[in-house]
Amino acid sequence: MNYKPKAMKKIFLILLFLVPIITYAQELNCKKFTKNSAIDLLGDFILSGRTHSLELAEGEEVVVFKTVSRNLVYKFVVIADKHIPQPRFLIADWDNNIIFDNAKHNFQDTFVFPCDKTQRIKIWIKVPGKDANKRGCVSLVVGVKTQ
Amino acid sequence: MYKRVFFYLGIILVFSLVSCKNEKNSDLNKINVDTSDQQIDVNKAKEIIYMLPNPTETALIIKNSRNTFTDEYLCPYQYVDRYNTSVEEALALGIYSTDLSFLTMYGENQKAVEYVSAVKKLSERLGIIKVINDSLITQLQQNIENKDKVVSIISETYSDMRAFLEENHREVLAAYMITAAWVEGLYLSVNLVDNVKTDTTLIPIIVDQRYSLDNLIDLLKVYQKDENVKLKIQELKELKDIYDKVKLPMKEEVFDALKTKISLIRNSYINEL
Repeated sequence: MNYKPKAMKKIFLILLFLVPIITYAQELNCKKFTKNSAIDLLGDFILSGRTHSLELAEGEEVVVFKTVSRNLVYKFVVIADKHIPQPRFLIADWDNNIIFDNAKHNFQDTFVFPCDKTQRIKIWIKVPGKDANKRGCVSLVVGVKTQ
Repeated sequence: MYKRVFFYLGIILVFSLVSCKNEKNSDLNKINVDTSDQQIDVNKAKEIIYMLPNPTETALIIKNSRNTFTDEYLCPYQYVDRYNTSVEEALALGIYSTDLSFLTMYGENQKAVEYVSAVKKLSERLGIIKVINDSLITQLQQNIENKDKVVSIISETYSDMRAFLEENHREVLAAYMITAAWVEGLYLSVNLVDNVKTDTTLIPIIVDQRYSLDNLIDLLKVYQKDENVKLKIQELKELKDIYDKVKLPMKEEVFDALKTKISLIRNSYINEL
């Protein structure tokens, strides 16, 4: 193989600068996806907390701790872009009693939760599959309104 | 020459990767949720997110139990020029965000305009220029009569401000903003209680805030290497000590202790001591 050190160094330097640019562009796309798709799914619910645009691979998971208040209705939206499968999301109370598991509801992307008592909850999100090279954007938004 | 450049670049890359990993793993809790087909272990999570109610949610909760509006307890918008350091500005941004949400939730949109200006000033000083720009102000002015639209815009703006700080490696300032926003919500709630013995709507809400307080302390603990954050955690832990004594029906002396403590914390945030 004809090895040209100068050319290799150039390629390396180009890659060094390209990688952060590509990562930044992916982050921007992910945020755009959240703004355009996830927030729309909130409908007449007001955004609670902040929007989360997460770059996840198959098999990766995140955990969210949130407080929900009585007499309010919450809408949880968890969606993924076309590069990865629809994530599984599960909501449990602080004693680990499961409130909702979308795996039991055809992996639906929203869940409306009328809250009758104030409590801390855990939201667990996992992208199905094992191919760590398959990465995509997962959006999480929570909306709230009065009962 | 190139060899040396690559060597140093390599070292920088390795250090940046290591520091990112440490940050991520600094506050992992060991909680297992047992499901039918697998164990969910928080330690396996790529990321742990503390989602605190934003000021709009707090204002919505207060509005649910109090229909009458008063601006008596809001932080005067004229105070905006008191704040000079980034910590003071982040705290004030949180306080004004809650006041702004409170005003818009009660449809006090004309008054809210002054608070939008205060929030804009602070966000500019903190470098959050992309979030509150002229088009947002125009959008608010165009919808001034549409309460729901204004509430929604304010809520998304707060979310964007928080996201901007967190995504630009200024998570500590975001944590200050969130803390101050929560403190202001509780401060307004306790001050709206007329009679502890007869109140049946606001008192339960105030009691329930203990859950958010736990989440808030957990969030701040992630940044406790910062001495100032440590101080804020200590103050909130003292508030939590009072909360630990709270039972329903709430005793007047416990309520007074709670009110005094939250007022002290809030007034220190707005330099009003």
